[in-house]
Amino acid sequence: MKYKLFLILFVTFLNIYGQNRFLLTYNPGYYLNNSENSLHITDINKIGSYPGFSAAFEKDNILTLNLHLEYNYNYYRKFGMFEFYPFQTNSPLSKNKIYTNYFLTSHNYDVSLLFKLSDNFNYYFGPSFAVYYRTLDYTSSLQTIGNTIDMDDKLVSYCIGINGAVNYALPLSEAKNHFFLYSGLKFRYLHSFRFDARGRNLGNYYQSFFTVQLNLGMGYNF
Amino acid sequence: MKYHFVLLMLLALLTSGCRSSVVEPTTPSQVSILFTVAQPSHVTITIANSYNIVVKTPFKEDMWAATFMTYIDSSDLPAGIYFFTVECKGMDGVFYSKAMSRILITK
Repeated sequence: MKYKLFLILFVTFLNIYGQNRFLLTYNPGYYLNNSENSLHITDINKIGSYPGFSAAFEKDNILTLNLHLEYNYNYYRKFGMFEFYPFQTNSPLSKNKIYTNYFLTSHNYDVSLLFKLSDNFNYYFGPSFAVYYRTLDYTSSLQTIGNTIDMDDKLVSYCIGINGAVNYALPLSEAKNHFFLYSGLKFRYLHSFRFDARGRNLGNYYQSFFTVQLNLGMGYNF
Repeated sequence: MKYHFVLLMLLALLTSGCRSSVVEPTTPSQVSILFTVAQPSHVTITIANSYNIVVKTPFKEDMWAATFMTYIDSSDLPAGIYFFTVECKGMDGVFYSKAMSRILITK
Protein backbone atom coordinates (compact mmCIF):
# COMPACT_ATOMS: atom_id res chain seq x y z
CA MET A 1 0.00 0.00 0.00
CA LYS A 2 2.79 2.39 0.91
CA TYR A 3 4.60 1.47 -2.27
CA LYS A 4 1.54 2.31 -4.40
CA LEU A 5 1.06 5.63 -2.61
CA PHE A 6 4.69 6.51 -3.18
CA LEU A 7 4.40 5.53 -6.85
CA ILE A 8 1.30 7.67 -7.34
CA LEU A 9 3.00 10.65 -5.72
CA PHE A 10 6.10 10.12 -7.84
CA VAL A 11 4.18 9.92 -11.14
CA THR A 12 2.07 12.93 -10.14
CA PHE A 13 5.24 14.82 -9.36
CA LEU A 14 6.60 14.19 -12.85
CA ASN A 15 3.39 15.30 -14.55
CA ILE A 16 2.92 18.63 -12.79
CA TYR A 17 3.28 21.50 -15.21
CA GLY A 18 6.72 23.02 -15.34
CA GLN A 19 10.02 22.76 -17.12
CA ASN A 20 11.99 19.55 -16.77
CA ARG A 21 15.67 19.09 -17.28
CA PHE A 22 17.72 15.97 -17.40
CA LEU A 23 21.48 16.18 -16.87
CA LEU A 24 24.40 13.84 -17.36
CA THR A 25 27.74 15.04 -16.10
CA TYR A 26 31.29 13.93 -15.54
CA ASN A 27 32.51 14.88 -12.05
CA PRO A 28 36.21 15.11 -11.35
CA GLY A 29 36.41 15.83 -7.64
CA TYR A 30 38.74 16.30 -4.71
CA TYR A 31 38.48 15.40 -1.01
CA LEU A 32 39.08 18.66 0.83
CA ASN A 33 38.75 16.66 4.02
CA ASN A 34 38.62 12.91 4.44
CA SER A 35 38.64 11.30 7.88
CA GLU A 36 40.34 8.24 6.40
CA ASN A 37 43.50 10.28 5.96
CA SER A 38 44.07 10.22 9.72
CA LEU A 39 44.15 6.41 9.84
CA HIS A 40 47.28 4.26 9.85
CA ILE A 41 46.18 2.49 6.68
CA THR A 42 46.62 5.52 4.45
CA ASP A 43 50.25 5.72 5.55
CA ILE A 44 51.94 8.69 3.88
CA ASN A 45 49.34 8.75 1.11
CA LYS A 46 46.45 11.16 1.20
CA ILE A 47 43.13 10.47 -0.42
CA GLY A 48 42.67 13.31 -2.86
CA SER A 49 41.28 13.50 -6.38
CA TYR A 50 38.76 11.08 -7.81
CA PRO A 51 36.62 10.70 -10.94
CA GLY A 52 32.86 10.32 -10.93
CA PHE A 53 29.69 10.83 -12.89
CA SER A 54 26.17 11.85 -12.10
CA ALA A 55 22.65 11.89 -13.46
CA ALA A 56 20.26 14.58 -12.33
CA PHE A 57 16.69 15.60 -12.87
CA GLU A 58 15.40 19.13 -12.35
CA LYS A 59 11.74 20.05 -12.04
CA ASP A 60 10.43 23.62 -11.88
CA ASN A 61 7.43 24.96 -10.08
CA ILE A 62 6.59 22.27 -7.55
CA LEU A 63 4.46 24.30 -5.11
CA THR A 64 6.49 27.31 -6.31
CA LEU A 65 9.73 25.46 -5.65
CA ASN A 66 12.32 24.22 -8.12
CA LEU A 67 13.78 20.83 -7.31
CA HIS A 68 17.07 19.21 -8.24
CA LEU A 69 17.41 15.45 -7.73
CA GLU A 70 20.78 13.85 -8.35
CA TYR A 71 22.49 10.51 -8.23
CA ASN A 72 26.28 10.75 -8.12
CA TYR A 73 28.87 7.98 -8.25
CA ASN A 74 32.48 8.50 -7.15
CA TYR A 75 35.34 6.06 -7.23
CA TYR A 76 38.75 6.45 -5.63
CA ARG A 77 41.41 3.78 -5.79
CA LYS A 78 45.00 3.55 -4.76
CA PHE A 79 47.06 0.50 -5.59
CA GLY A 80 49.79 -0.14 -3.06
CA MET A 81 48.39 2.16 -0.39
CA PHE A 82 50.88 0.71 2.05
CA GLU A 83 53.29 -2.19 2.39
CA PHE A 84 53.71 -4.68 5.17
CA TYR A 85 54.77 -8.19 6.05
CA PRO A 86 52.04 -10.79 6.42
CA PHE A 87 52.16 -13.06 9.42
CA GLN A 88 50.62 -16.35 10.25
CA THR A 89 52.02 -19.14 12.35
CA ASN A 90 54.02 -21.42 10.05
CA SER A 91 53.08 -19.25 7.07
CA PRO A 92 55.48 -19.38 4.12
CA LEU A 93 54.40 -15.82 3.31
CA SER A 94 55.85 -14.29 6.43
CA LYS A 95 59.05 -13.10 4.76
CA ASN A 96 57.42 -11.53 1.70
CA LYS A 97 56.49 -7.90 1.46
CA ILE A 98 52.82 -7.39 0.64
CA TYR A 99 51.08 -4.37 -0.84
CA THR A 100 47.55 -3.43 0.01
CA ASN A 101 45.10 -1.78 -2.37
CA TYR A 102 42.57 0.72 -1.15
CA PHE A 103 39.20 1.54 -2.72
CA LEU A 104 36.67 4.15 -1.68
CA THR A 105 33.43 4.14 -3.62
CA SER A 106 30.39 6.26 -2.96
CA HIS A 107 26.82 6.42 -4.17
CA ASN A 108 25.42 9.85 -3.38
CA TYR A 109 21.78 10.90 -3.50
CA ASP A 110 21.05 14.62 -3.36
CA VAL A 111 17.71 16.38 -3.02
CA SER A 112 18.08 20.11 -3.46
CA LEU A 113 16.12 23.32 -3.81
CA LEU A 114 17.12 25.15 -6.95
CA PHE A 115 17.20 28.93 -7.30
CA LYS A 116 17.72 30.79 -10.57
CA LEU A 117 20.07 33.73 -10.65
CA SER A 118 19.38 34.33 -14.36
CA ASP A 119 18.31 32.32 -17.39
CA ASN A 120 21.66 30.57 -17.46
CA PHE A 121 22.91 30.73 -13.87
CA ASN A 122 21.47 28.90 -10.92
CA TYR A 123 22.44 27.52 -7.56
CA TYR A 124 20.99 24.81 -5.37
CA PHE A 125 21.47 23.27 -1.96
CA GLY A 126 19.87 20.57 0.13
CA PRO A 127 20.35 17.34 2.06
CA SER A 128 22.43 14.41 0.86
CA PHE A 129 22.43 10.73 1.58
CA ALA A 130 25.30 8.43 0.64
CA VAL A 131 26.40 4.83 0.78
CA TYR A 132 30.17 4.44 1.03
CA TYR A 133 32.19 1.31 0.35
CA ARG A 134 35.67 1.24 1.84
CA THR A 135 37.69 -1.77 0.73
CA LEU A 136 41.14 -2.99 1.66
CA ASP A 137 42.20 -5.66 -0.77
CA TYR A 138 45.12 -8.01 -0.16
CA THR A 139 44.14 -10.65 -2.68
CA SER A 140 45.94 -9.43 -5.78
CA SER A 141 49.28 -8.91 -4.09
CA LEU A 142 49.07 -12.27 -2.34
CA GLN A 143 48.42 -13.88 -5.72
CA THR A 144 51.58 -12.36 -7.16
CA ILE A 145 53.62 -14.51 -4.81
CA GLY A 146 51.75 -17.64 -5.75
CA ASN A 147 49.11 -17.69 -3.06
CA THR A 148 45.42 -17.98 -3.71
CA ILE A 149 44.14 -16.63 -0.42
CA ASP A 150 41.07 -14.50 -1.11
CA MET A 151 41.20 -11.63 1.33
CA ASP A 152 39.53 -8.30 1.44
CA ASP A 153 37.97 -6.11 4.07
CA LYS A 154 34.95 -4.25 2.76
CA LEU A 155 33.00 -1.94 5.02
CA VAL A 156 29.72 -0.34 4.04
CA SER A 157 28.76 2.90 5.71
CA TYR A 158 25.73 5.13 5.47
CA CYS A 159 26.21 8.88 5.54
CA ILE A 160 24.05 11.98 5.61
CA GLY A 161 25.01 15.56 4.96
CA ILE A 162 24.43 18.60 2.83
CA ASN A 163 25.31 19.69 -0.68
CA GLY A 164 25.38 22.92 -2.61
CA ALA A 165 26.38 23.99 -6.11
CA VAL A 166 26.62 26.91 -8.49
CA ASN A 167 25.92 26.11 -12.15
CA TYR A 168 25.94 27.54 -15.62
CA ALA A 169 23.93 26.22 -18.58
CA LEU A 170 24.54 27.21 -22.21
CA PRO A 171 21.57 26.43 -24.51
CA LEU A 172 22.44 24.95 -27.90
CA SER A 173 19.26 26.24 -29.53
CA GLU A 174 16.39 28.61 -28.84
CA ALA A 175 13.68 25.97 -29.18
CA LYS A 176 11.52 25.17 -26.18
CA ASN A 177 12.91 21.66 -26.04
CA HIS A 178 16.63 21.91 -26.41
CA PHE A 179 19.96 20.50 -25.40
CA PHE A 180 22.40 22.57 -23.40
CA LEU A 181 25.97 22.39 -22.14
CA TYR A 182 26.25 22.31 -18.40
CA SER A 183 28.99 23.15 -15.93
CA GLY A 184 29.04 23.67 -12.21
CA LEU A 185 31.02 23.65 -9.00
CA LYS A 186 29.62 21.49 -6.23
CA PHE A 187 30.43 21.02 -2.55
CA ARG A 188 29.20 18.15 -0.41
CA TYR A 189 29.72 17.32 3.25
CA LEU A 190 28.86 13.86 4.58
CA HIS A 191 29.12 12.20 7.96
CA SER A 192 28.57 8.54 8.72
CA PHE A 193 25.69 7.48 10.95
CA ARG A 194 25.61 3.72 10.54
CA PHE A 195 28.00 0.91 9.58
CA ASP A 196 27.47 -2.63 8.44
CA ALA A 197 30.07 -3.78 10.99
CA ARG A 198 29.61 -7.57 10.78
CA GLY A 199 31.55 -8.39 13.92
CA ARG A 200 34.23 -5.75 13.54
CA ASN A 201 35.18 -3.67 16.53
CA LEU A 202 34.55 -0.15 15.22
CA GLY A 203 34.51 1.59 18.60
CA ASN A 204 34.08 5.31 18.06
CA TYR A 205 35.21 5.13 14.43
CA TYR A 206 33.43 7.49 12.08
CA GLN A 207 33.79 8.79 8.57
CA SER A 208 33.42 12.35 7.36
CA PHE A 209 33.98 13.62 3.87
CA PHE A 210 34.08 17.13 2.47
CA THR A 211 34.37 17.19 -1.29
CA VAL A 212 34.45 19.68 -4.09
CA GLN A 213 33.75 18.60 -7.65
CA LEU A 214 33.28 19.99 -11.12
CA ASN A 215 30.13 19.12 -12.99
CA LEU A 216 30.79 19.03 -16.72
CA GLY A 217 28.28 17.63 -19.14
CA MET A 218 25.11 18.01 -21.13
CA GLY A 219 21.44 18.35 -20.41
CA TYR A 220 18.12 18.32 -22.13
CA ASN A 221 15.32 20.77 -21.41
CA PHE A 222 11.77 19.54 -22.07
CA MET B 1 5.59 2.71 -17.71
CA LYS B 2 8.89 4.55 -18.03
CA TYR B 3 8.27 6.14 -14.64
CA HIS B 4 8.01 2.68 -13.10
CA PHE B 5 11.35 1.83 -14.66
CA VAL B 6 12.99 4.99 -13.31
CA LEU B 7 11.61 4.31 -9.83
CA LEU B 8 12.82 0.71 -9.87
CA MET B 9 16.27 1.83 -11.03
CA LEU B 10 16.50 4.34 -8.17
CA LEU B 11 15.47 1.70 -5.63
CA ALA B 12 17.94 -0.77 -7.10
CA LEU B 13 20.78 1.74 -6.90
CA LEU B 14 19.87 2.58 -3.34
CA THR B 15 19.89 -0.99 -2.12
CA SER B 16 22.35 -2.77 -4.38
CA GLY B 17 25.34 -4.34 -2.73
CA CYS B 18 24.83 -2.73 0.65
CA ARG B 19 26.75 -5.47 2.37
CA SER B 20 30.08 -5.56 4.08
CA SER B 21 32.44 -8.47 3.88
CA VAL B 22 34.99 -9.60 6.41
CA VAL B 23 36.90 -12.83 6.75
CA GLU B 24 35.95 -14.60 9.97
CA PRO B 25 38.53 -16.55 11.98
CA THR B 26 38.46 -20.27 11.39
CA THR B 27 41.48 -21.63 13.22
CA PRO B 28 43.25 -20.52 16.40
CA SER B 29 46.55 -18.82 15.78
CA GLN B 30 49.25 -16.99 17.63
CA VAL B 31 51.16 -13.89 16.67
CA SER B 32 54.64 -13.36 18.05
CA ILE B 33 55.99 -9.88 18.71
CA LEU B 34 59.69 -9.28 19.30
CA PHE B 35 60.60 -6.02 21.00
CA THR B 36 63.55 -4.40 22.74
CA VAL B 37 63.36 -2.24 25.85
CA ALA B 38 66.28 0.21 26.00
CA GLN B 39 66.03 0.90 29.74
CA PRO B 40 63.73 -0.15 32.59
CA SER B 41 60.26 0.89 31.53
CA HIS B 42 56.57 0.38 31.87
CA VAL B 43 55.77 -1.36 28.58
CA THR B 44 52.38 -1.42 26.90
CA ILE B 45 51.64 -3.28 23.68
CA THR B 46 48.39 -2.48 21.91
CA ILE B 47 46.90 -3.87 18.73
CA ALA B 48 44.69 -1.65 16.59
CA ASN B 49 42.63 -2.65 13.60
CA SER B 50 42.46 -0.83 10.26
CA TYR B 51 39.95 1.60 11.77
CA ASN B 52 42.46 2.80 14.40
CA ILE B 53 40.45 1.10 17.15
CA VAL B 54 42.51 -0.66 19.82
CA VAL B 55 41.16 -4.21 19.87
CA LYS B 56 43.65 -5.75 22.28
CA THR B 57 46.09 -4.67 24.95
CA PRO B 58 47.89 -7.98 25.37
CA PHE B 59 50.89 -6.75 27.30
CA LYS B 60 51.16 -4.19 30.09
CA GLU B 61 54.06 -4.75 32.50
CA ASP B 62 57.15 -3.22 34.04
CA MET B 63 60.22 -4.58 32.22
CA TRP B 64 63.96 -4.27 32.54
CA ALA B 65 66.28 -3.46 29.62
CA ALA B 66 66.41 -6.47 27.31
CA THR B 67 64.85 -8.01 24.21
CA PHE B 68 61.61 -9.89 24.70
CA MET B 69 59.20 -11.96 22.68
CA THR B 70 55.55 -12.20 23.52
CA TYR B 71 52.79 -14.26 21.96
CA ILE B 72 49.32 -12.94 21.26
CA ASP B 73 46.27 -15.06 20.68
CA SER B 74 44.68 -13.77 17.48
CA SER B 75 41.97 -16.40 17.17
CA ASP B 76 39.25 -13.93 18.12
CA LEU B 77 40.32 -11.34 15.54
CA PRO B 78 38.94 -11.25 12.00
CA ALA B 79 41.57 -11.66 9.31
CA GLY B 80 43.08 -8.45 8.10
CA ILE B 81 45.71 -5.81 8.68
CA TYR B 82 46.54 -4.82 12.25
CA PHE B 83 48.90 -2.28 13.73
CA PHE B 84 50.72 -3.11 16.91
CA THR B 85 52.34 -0.41 19.01
CA VAL B 86 55.03 -0.92 21.62
CA GLU B 87 55.11 1.99 24.03
CA CYS B 88 57.83 2.31 26.68
CA LYS B 89 57.59 4.82 29.52
CA GLY B 90 60.88 4.90 31.45
CA MET B 91 60.90 4.25 35.21
CA ASP B 92 62.92 7.46 35.50
CA GLY B 93 59.92 9.41 34.22
CA VAL B 94 61.95 10.88 31.37
CA PHE B 95 62.61 8.12 28.86
CA TYR B 96 59.88 7.51 26.31
CA SER B 97 59.75 5.54 23.09
CA LYS B 98 57.02 4.37 20.82
CA ALA B 99 57.27 2.07 17.82
CA MET B 100 54.57 0.83 15.49
CA SER B 101 54.52 -1.99 12.98
CA ARG B 102 52.01 -3.85 10.84
CA ILE B 103 50.95 -7.42 10.71
CA LEU B 104 48.55 -9.31 8.51
CA ILE B 105 46.58 -12.00 10.23
CA THR B 106 45.44 -14.60 7.73
CA LYS B 107 43.09 -17.42 8.47
